Amino acid sequence: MTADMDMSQYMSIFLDEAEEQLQILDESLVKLEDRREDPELINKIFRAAHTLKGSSASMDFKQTATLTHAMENVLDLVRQQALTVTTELVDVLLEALDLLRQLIAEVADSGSESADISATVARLQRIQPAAGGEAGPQAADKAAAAATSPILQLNDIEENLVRAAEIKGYRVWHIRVELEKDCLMKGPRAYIVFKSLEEVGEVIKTVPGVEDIEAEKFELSFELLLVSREDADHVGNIIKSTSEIASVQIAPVTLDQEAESRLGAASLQAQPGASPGASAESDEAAKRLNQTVRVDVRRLDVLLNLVGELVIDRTRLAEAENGLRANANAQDLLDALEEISTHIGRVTSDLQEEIMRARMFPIDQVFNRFPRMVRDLAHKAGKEVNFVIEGRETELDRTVIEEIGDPLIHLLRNAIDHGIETPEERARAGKPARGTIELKAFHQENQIVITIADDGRGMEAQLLRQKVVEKGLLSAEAAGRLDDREALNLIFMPGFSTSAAVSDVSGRGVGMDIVRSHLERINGLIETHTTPGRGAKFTIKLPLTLAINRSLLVTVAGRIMAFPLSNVVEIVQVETGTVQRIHQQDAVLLRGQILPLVELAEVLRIDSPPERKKTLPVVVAGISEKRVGFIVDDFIGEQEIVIKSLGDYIGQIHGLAGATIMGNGQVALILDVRSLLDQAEAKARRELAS
Amino acid sequence: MVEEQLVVLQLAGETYGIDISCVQEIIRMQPVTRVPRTPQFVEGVINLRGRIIPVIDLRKRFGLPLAEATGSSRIMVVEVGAVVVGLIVDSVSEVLRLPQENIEPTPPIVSGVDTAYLRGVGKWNDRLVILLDVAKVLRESEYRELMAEQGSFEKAV
Repeated sequence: MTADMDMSQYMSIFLDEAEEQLQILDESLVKLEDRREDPELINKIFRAAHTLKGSSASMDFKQTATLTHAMENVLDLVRQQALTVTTELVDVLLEALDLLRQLIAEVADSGSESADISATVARLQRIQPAAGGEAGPQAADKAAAAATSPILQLNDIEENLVRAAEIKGYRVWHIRVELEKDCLMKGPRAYIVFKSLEEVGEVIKTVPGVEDIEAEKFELSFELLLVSREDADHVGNIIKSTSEIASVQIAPVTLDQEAESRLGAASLQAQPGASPGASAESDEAAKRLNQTVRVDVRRLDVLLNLVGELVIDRTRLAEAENGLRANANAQDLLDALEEISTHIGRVTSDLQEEIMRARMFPIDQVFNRFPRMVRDLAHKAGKEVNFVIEGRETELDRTVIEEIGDPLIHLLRNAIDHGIETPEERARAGKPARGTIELKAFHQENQIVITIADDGRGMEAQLLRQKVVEKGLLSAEAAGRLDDREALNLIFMPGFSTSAAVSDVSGRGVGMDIVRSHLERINGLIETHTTPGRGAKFTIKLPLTLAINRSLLVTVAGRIMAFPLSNVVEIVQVETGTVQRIHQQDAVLLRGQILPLVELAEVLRIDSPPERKKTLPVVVAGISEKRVGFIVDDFIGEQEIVIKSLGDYIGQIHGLAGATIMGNGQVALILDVRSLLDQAEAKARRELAS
Repeated sequence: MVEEQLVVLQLAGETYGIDISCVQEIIRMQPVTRVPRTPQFVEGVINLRGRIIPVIDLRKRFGLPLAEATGSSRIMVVEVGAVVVGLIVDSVSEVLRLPQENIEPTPPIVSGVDTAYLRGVGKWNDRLVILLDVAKVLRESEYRELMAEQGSFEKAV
């Protein structure tokens, strides 16, 4: 029974770890096609397969272990240059990887494996030439294992590591851990010890090897070398916090003179190009990057909510201060209040920022699955694509991360299917046979910008105009009136095109309307740039966070409403005399552009709009290229607001995004500009049609 | 002896009881923010310590004669499933323990409230307490129906 409970505890560690290794395999295997002779890359893949084999074997997931073992054998041959990397080889490895994913998913779901691996294992085995036996990591170890305490017999790479650590002020500890005699699960215990040590440093060597330890091929004790800044006591305590540890011995390790001189010799004969020290360092850096605390998102949401309330309090306090100043004369009290208010202001701003940051994740979580996807799609479409990713580390709010994946997949798919030409076509156009797709993410002011650019055939405005007329979506005359920029935006029109219809012409539009609506849901904008024959570029702009917004407060029919500032283009005072009526639709000429005007009270159907004053306060709101002026009673000002839902009972209301609590404790409604625009547009269209 | 604990409230001259387990709290009347495009009986939303809660006027909900809020008017915050709603009532008088044997099925004609929303009638001293079925009152399908009836719900254009 206790064993079961323990297993479930390891299960989550195992799954996290497996996910990590699968991701490494995924990324590296795709790269392998381009960098077929990169020994570091091959080693990385080998290590990932190896780690997965070890951990699945110790958890007794035999299918996963068998499959990774077969992969490992193939990779080992590649490593020894007994096999060369071919596309077929990568295909088989990718097939194995897909199967691994499936197995791990099954384990995650049901705790057991059911997928059939025999076919894939057979394919992997067929790849191997007659060579056999156990080669690989043990070979080096065996060579080194000659003298007194085997763990202190360092090979060149290990020596380099120790030396680099010493230079940087790290200490190297030789640790001997002995488990209790009746310890049931030696492998997992050792694994936990390694895991916890990795939080304070790096384990550079173990005796017996990690693989054997995880497979429980040791008596009761194992030894390891740890590079760390921590002192012996601290390290000892960390190890002892794992249960069923009988004893821990820790001694410092220093390189002796002899080793130093050997090191010099070793580095002289080190093969050019490969620098083991550097690769170990970057690996270590990568490891540290992953050393993050996993926090339940719901908990973060609660925190953020609390901070939201603090932000509201801050506003209330400032308001109270103003009120007091007007009425009372107690100067001291006022000054104190002001000081408190300032302080709370600072604290809440910091807190807000910190928690927002805790919700941020690198966009790599989304990007990391793309190289494989692009590769597969390009293969299928018979295109050659060089896929470049930049800005993987750019951080986005969790909510945005969850929503951004699908639109990006659509855009990448389009770039491959419709943007990039076939190699022959590209050759005819005088371009390199291999197309390039660049995916970049970066911060710009208070926004995240993601761009997807290809050097394919681009889009031609004229063809898009033709298409929209053929589709019967616009009259020839209306289409003719569109300038090139407007014509480009036709691709976002619902029903504009399907993949089959445009694959032979230079249009694209597989679900582009879906892409746009997806982005609008997270307050994002998308812009298109293209040069026919040279390529197309999509630029997506996203807000940093969705939870706290700046907003413009206005009054409408005596109520306070908030426009999210991200949707407000400008505010203007319009002279009633300049309002023109075109088919029941009010409009005004603003800097040469026609701006439709609607009464906000009317759109929301609160009540009939009041008599018009001489000047009308107008909020010009927009999403993408759509612009509508909303007539309000008055502007109040800008304020930070926390969006709250109206609750399950009322549900979604057309035109409203939710509610917020203002400084005085009152509730104000937040407008949903997108649906207001849709409505205003539909109304305008009806009026024009009648 | 099995008992029911009820919160007793007054509405248009009648005495009603609501199962105490679904009553979260009872608060004084406070300014309500009206929400457009909701049925008439939805007064709007209030801020309950940082939470936004919809408030419905029970008189309007049951089609009883309307009345201005008075000093004894209360908002009774009830929770049914995931839904938390404030109910505006004329007043709240007490908490009552009623033996189950004192509860009888709803007679065909009771006050102005549709019998579909009632659980029965309790006899208490010389008075009658009409037991409200809050879950039914708040049921979503009812809400949608009323929304449609009132014509204030419009499909997205």
